[in-house]
Amino acid sequence: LEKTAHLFRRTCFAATWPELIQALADGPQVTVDSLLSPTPQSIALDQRHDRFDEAVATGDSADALRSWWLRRMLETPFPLQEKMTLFWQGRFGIAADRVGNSLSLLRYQQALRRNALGDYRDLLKALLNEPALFVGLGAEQNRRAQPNPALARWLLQYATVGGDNHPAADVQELARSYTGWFVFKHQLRFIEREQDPGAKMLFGQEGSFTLSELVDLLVAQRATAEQLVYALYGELIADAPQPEPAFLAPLVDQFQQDPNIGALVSTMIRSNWFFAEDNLHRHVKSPVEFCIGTLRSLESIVPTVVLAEDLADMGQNLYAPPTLAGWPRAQHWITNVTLTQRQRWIRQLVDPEGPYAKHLALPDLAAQRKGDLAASAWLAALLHGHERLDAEPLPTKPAENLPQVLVQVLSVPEYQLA
Amino acid sequence: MMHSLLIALLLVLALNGDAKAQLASPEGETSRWLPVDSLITLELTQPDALLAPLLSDRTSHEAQQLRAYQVFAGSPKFEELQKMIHFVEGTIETDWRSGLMQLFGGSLAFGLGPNEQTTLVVDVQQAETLNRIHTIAQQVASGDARKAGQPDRVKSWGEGEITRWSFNTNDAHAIIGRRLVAANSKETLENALERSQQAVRQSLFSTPHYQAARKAIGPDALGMAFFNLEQLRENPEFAAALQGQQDNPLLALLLAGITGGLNTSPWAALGFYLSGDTFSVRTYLPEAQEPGATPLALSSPTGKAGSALALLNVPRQIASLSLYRDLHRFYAAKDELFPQRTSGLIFFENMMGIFFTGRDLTEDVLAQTEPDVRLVVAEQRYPSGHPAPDPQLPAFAAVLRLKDPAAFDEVMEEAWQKAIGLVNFTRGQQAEPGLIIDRPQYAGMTFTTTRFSFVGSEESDNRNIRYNFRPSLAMPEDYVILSSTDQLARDLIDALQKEAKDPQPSLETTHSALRLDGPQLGSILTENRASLIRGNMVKEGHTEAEAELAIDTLLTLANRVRAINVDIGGALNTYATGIRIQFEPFN
Repeated sequence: LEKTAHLFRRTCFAATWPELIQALADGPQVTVDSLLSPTPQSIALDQRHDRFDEAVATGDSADALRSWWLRRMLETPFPLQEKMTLFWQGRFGIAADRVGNSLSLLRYQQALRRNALGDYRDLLKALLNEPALFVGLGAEQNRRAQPNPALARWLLQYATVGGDNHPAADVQELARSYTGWFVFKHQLRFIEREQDPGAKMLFGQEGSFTLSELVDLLVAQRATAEQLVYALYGELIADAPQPEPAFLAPLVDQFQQDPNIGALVSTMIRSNWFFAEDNLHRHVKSPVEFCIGTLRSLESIVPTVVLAEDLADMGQNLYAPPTLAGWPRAQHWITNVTLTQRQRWIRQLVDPEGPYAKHLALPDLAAQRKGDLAASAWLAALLHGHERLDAEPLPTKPAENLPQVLVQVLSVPEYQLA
Repeated sequence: MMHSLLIALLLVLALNGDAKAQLASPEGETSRWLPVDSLITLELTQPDALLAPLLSDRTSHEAQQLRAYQVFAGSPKFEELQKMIHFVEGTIETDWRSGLMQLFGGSLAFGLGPNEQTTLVVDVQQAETLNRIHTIAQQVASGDARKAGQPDRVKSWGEGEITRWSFNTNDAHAIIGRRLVAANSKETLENALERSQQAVRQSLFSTPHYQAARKAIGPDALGMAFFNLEQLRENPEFAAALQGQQDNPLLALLLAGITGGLNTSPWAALGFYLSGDTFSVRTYLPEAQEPGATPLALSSPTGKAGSALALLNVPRQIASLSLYRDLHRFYAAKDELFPQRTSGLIFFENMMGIFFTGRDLTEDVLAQTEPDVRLVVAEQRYPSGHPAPDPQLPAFAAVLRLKDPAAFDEVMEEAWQKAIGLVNFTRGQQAEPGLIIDRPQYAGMTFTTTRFSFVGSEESDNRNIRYNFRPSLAMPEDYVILSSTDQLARDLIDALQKEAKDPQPSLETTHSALRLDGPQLGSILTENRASLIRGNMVKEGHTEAEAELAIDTLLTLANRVRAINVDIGGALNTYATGIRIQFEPFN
């Protein structure tokens, strides 16, 4: 049970009780297969949510998109896709305020989601086709006379080879490569006369590269594969410590030969070290993982307008990462302030006067599980993945105090870890 | 759960009596049982008159059309409820409508005292029925506890001839003849019983304030809600809410002296009235002199009752508001009224200085306006050939009157065009399309309108919210119309011309009047149904089906309200204020 819960926490925010029971019956291979693949239900839900997103993306604010994305995270039968979309948004942090157009922002987000588990080259090419990326980076104008290095820096530093893995001159050469691309009225346009037609020298190759060719060249670099493998290792296996290069070399080789994100994720979560004891509870939950995981476990759909505000208080304002590198990760999620906000959210979750409690239906959930486990043990098993807590003993009559039990289960330090 | 509901229903029905025996209690009798320090009380002297329209066949038919009702009617809970109602009907030997009418045929008083004490006193019309229903409720409560494996929650105790009862931990009640006295604690019940036995009752009824409130609402009121403001103001949350309203300049201007009155008046009362299909609520605050400058006193140039102009009427109107406000005097006293907001107001003044070419906002601009402010909100019709925006917002406009239009019209025009220019410049910085200015002719005059161009707009952008706005300025005769759309500006030009030909009397002793048109409100809500459903889903956490149910119920109710009228007035120079709200439901 503990390792099954671990699998769901890392890949799907968290599991519901039926999902846990089903996964235990199916075994790890079948379960992982099912986590990696969309279903007809998930495709239908995505189509429905895409229509909602399109309808609300009419102004310059991302508030509605924020609420609907959280709603999708709560409802989706294919949570790995949303988890990976969140991963990419955290990695490629484009801020809504900077973009200033919710439709443009939605297109960018759709590109992230569509390619979240696909070919990494396709993901980057799709993003380079989105005006929001150019606006978000301050690269709306790329003139021949004055190449704009913003997109080049982002591509090299955050999207591909990493900050130290290229000569400084590459930034200028790369910036010359996409001269002629402009954003007017939130639309991307190519103006040929502004293009620098001269040959550019990048990573030992000389040529006049198109954007697509640039991506192919950059993703083919071994440093790109290393960057991605380490990033996904931190997301799926453990925040720290970073493994020795030799340890991850096979994965880097795999990704360099076939930059398929889904395949890399699949390899990682089927590996022995994914389930190794040392790697359990070695990932600090982000606020979204913390809240969405809890709510998914409890099979609860809550008002996501309020949830988005609470997440911002905890330090994760969706569509508004603080820097181009995205949100801080790992232990940086936990500060005195954010921990207080998490505690406040837990109390609010069970407050009968609060916005969430009436959506939890805890007694109903517990009653449905009657016969599996006692209510308190059930909650502990569901939310922690094991039947015994090392913290204080649970109330003796938990069935009558489920909200208090929930607060206790969520408040233990280890619940902050996935 | 159902048993608890049944007990509650039985207790409620226990308050009913034989409808044939119309034994009205002496006026105010029930309120004599409420404590003298009650914070909020509700006294219904003719509750049956209020219930009659709600229980009519027509209302019942309307209710059955609600989707929420239809969904509930298909659920097992509805079947269970029906069985329970049949059981109760059999017991009281009448149908549930008659039962409810009989129940509220007498009078009722409810009081919320300090420390959350509650007291309810109900006079029913036949003691025998009350006792019979009480016995059944007692049996149900006992059976409920027995089935749950808990000790019997029904307890009784007594002194003298009065037996006290409790069916659960937060209930204590007694039956005295045909009167039910219930409280949320034994102590509160004992206090009420003790109060009833005193020769000179020290109850709320005996206080001068309550008597003054009863006199103010008049004999035709069906009931009264009384607020002990002296006590309520000691509640920090209540006091903070009042202060917050007073500190907001716009809110203070809009509400005139209401919040000031609530801050100084010892009491407030609501009177409830019914005439045909019109339900009215009137609010009363006692007259008193408020010290110093007040928003109300300063918004009235004479210090006496203001007279708002008649409400304007335009096609597809949702709301019309007419205010009597001396903006010049009000703004001139800003430092005294809102010292903490001075820096913000200075910024506002600086901006206005740019628009009005360095003129002083108080003496050169606001002094040019008459104390007549009218606002109109109306549903829009969109230009043909383009999709309507989503969401569809209503058009809105303000109508002011100038003292010297010949001297000020061009000043207004220049200020308006500067404002549009600033908007365009700012939007241009954000790569957003700007407004195109036009000067069309209409009804013999030229006015200024603007629009966002569709040229170059992506198909996905054609429903952008900005297409709700076509800001316009028109200055017919001595009026200034500032409208969010050109169509509403045209409609207001027509309305003002019609008013000039057929002048309507101003609203005597009224400084604020509002009319909301239910069907038009329902219409725009219907246009935005999809948007409202989406909003409900993420704001309330509802499923799509639940959200549809909630919004469709709201739409049905909105379509059943014909109009809501609010009039605020009274003797000014003090803050005495009356509010009258009239509903015209189910017509």
